Amino acid sequence: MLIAGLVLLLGLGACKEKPPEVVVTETREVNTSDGAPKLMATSQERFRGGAGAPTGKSGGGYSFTKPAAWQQVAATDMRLLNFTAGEQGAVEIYLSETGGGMLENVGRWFRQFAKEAPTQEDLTGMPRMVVLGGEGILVQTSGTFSAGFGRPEAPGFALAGVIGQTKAGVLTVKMVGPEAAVQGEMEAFRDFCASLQPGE
Amino acid sequence: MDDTIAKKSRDPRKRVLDFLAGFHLASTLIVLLGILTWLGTLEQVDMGLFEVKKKYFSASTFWVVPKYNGYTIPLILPNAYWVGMLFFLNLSLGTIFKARWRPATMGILIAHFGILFLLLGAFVTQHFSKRGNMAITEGETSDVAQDYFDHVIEVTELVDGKPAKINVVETKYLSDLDPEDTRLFRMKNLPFDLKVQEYRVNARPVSTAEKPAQPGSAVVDGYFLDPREPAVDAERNLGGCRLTVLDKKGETLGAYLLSIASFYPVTVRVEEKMYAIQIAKSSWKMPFKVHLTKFTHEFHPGTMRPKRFESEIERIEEEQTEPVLIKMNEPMRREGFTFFQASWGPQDGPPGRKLFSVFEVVRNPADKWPEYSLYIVAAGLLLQFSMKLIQFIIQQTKRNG
Repeated sequence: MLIAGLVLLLGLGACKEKPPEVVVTETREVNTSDGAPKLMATSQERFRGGAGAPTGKSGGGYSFTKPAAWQQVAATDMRLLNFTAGEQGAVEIYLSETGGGMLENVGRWFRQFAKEAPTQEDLTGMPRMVVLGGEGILVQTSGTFSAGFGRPEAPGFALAGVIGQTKAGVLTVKMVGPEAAVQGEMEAFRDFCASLQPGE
Repeated sequence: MDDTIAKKSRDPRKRVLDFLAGFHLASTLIVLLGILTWLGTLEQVDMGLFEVKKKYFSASTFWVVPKYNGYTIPLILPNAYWVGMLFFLNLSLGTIFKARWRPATMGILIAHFGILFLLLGAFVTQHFSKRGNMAITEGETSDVAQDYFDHVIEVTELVDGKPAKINVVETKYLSDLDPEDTRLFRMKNLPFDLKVQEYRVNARPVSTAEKPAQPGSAVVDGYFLDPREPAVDAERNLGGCRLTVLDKKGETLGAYLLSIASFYPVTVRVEEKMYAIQIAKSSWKMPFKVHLTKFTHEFHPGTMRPKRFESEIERIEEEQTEPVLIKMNEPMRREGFTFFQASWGPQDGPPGRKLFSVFEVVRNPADKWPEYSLYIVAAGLLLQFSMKLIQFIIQQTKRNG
């Protein structure tokens, strides 16, 4: 009897049809997050904000050659250029202009992998690569990635990042994602960093 | 519980009652709940908490086929929600009809009520609790919490460029849609209707200049929705859909893509009035405002493991302003809402940058019920064992005396 009842309920559930029309009467009050929106924004403005066209050539005050397999996504407050790569966009690559010194920034990246912050001596021994027409420090590490408090830890992740100096401060290009995927994107990462130039 | 009463009865009603209130059923259900919880915990690694809760503990399905490490386990198990419901029925019937109601079993009866109260709390939490988050930058004020998962479509008239009352297409009208489905929303308070197509739980708006449109993804104004698998951390899903605005006669006024990954809403002019339309995470207004005065964070040396996170806030209620400190494991409770210190940002920001604090906001009428049920069960068992101990001591004293 119990099983018969369950089967009947299951059958009723399966018969539920999706209504093609719904009358909407629900409303909510305006709250502090409801600001005045930009009027008549184009899709370009809505999905890419103030950034330039996602032509794969420029944006965020830089020009570059986008690796073919990368996808440029919306820039954010912290990410002047923002890309995804790999299966399901699992690898994130982004360019930021930041404050602090080289050592401080490398230390912050290492801390995200629970690694001891490097010393100035360690920094001197790190490999170099071309970024923004100059020489930047290539930082590589792997392990369990902690994006921060409140977000789950991601084991088997890797980071490849380059830190360069600009007139305004420090420029970072960071690639983070599953280790194998990050390794697979290293060549594209080098090409991208080498292609970076100031100006749109 | 005693399932020996009327065991051999031939009355079918009695036999059904015996089965439903029986100890054998109770034991089976407890074991099933244990197995389901264990399998759900294993599967959570691959699927994420939200999807696993939906699969194992929601009322919408009756059966579960577990997976482990990507492989299907050839087992068909009942959904834990219905197992819990059946256990509640079993325990209620057992307590009413089969338990011995006498002073000597008072402790056991109390413990039974404690477990029933725990199950009731789980039911109330499942159906009546809300969970979201509130993010505030230092120096700013907020009165809104945003759901982690639920997508809604919001439409508002703009009066002097600002939103007036907001019409909401609720999650329940979107969540059953597949990308190939079409649904017409008759907007009762507005001079136009909305046709939603290609609703996707997780997708990114991508320009055709970057990537050719995927099959099944229509191009609107040079963009299309590039579908993604639902994220393991479901709160990271970015919902989107294709939207057609229709006048009340069904004539098309415009077609747009909506995505949570948008900087601005769509704005349309209908009958000389301006309206904004967006897809967003569902939000709910608080009965008070929260102003973040200062956020402080500290890590254990050399790691991203939090040592100390705290937000100095001001809770603003009408004319009253009260300073409150919210710390890890020391939430603020007010008017049925609990504010937990959950996160902060920007975590990749340069030193000296203004921080924002994220609170998990929970409204759960049964928030403290598990704690109370534990007290009830503990009191019942303490009473039962104490009575047994006293009985034993009396018997021993008599025997020795």
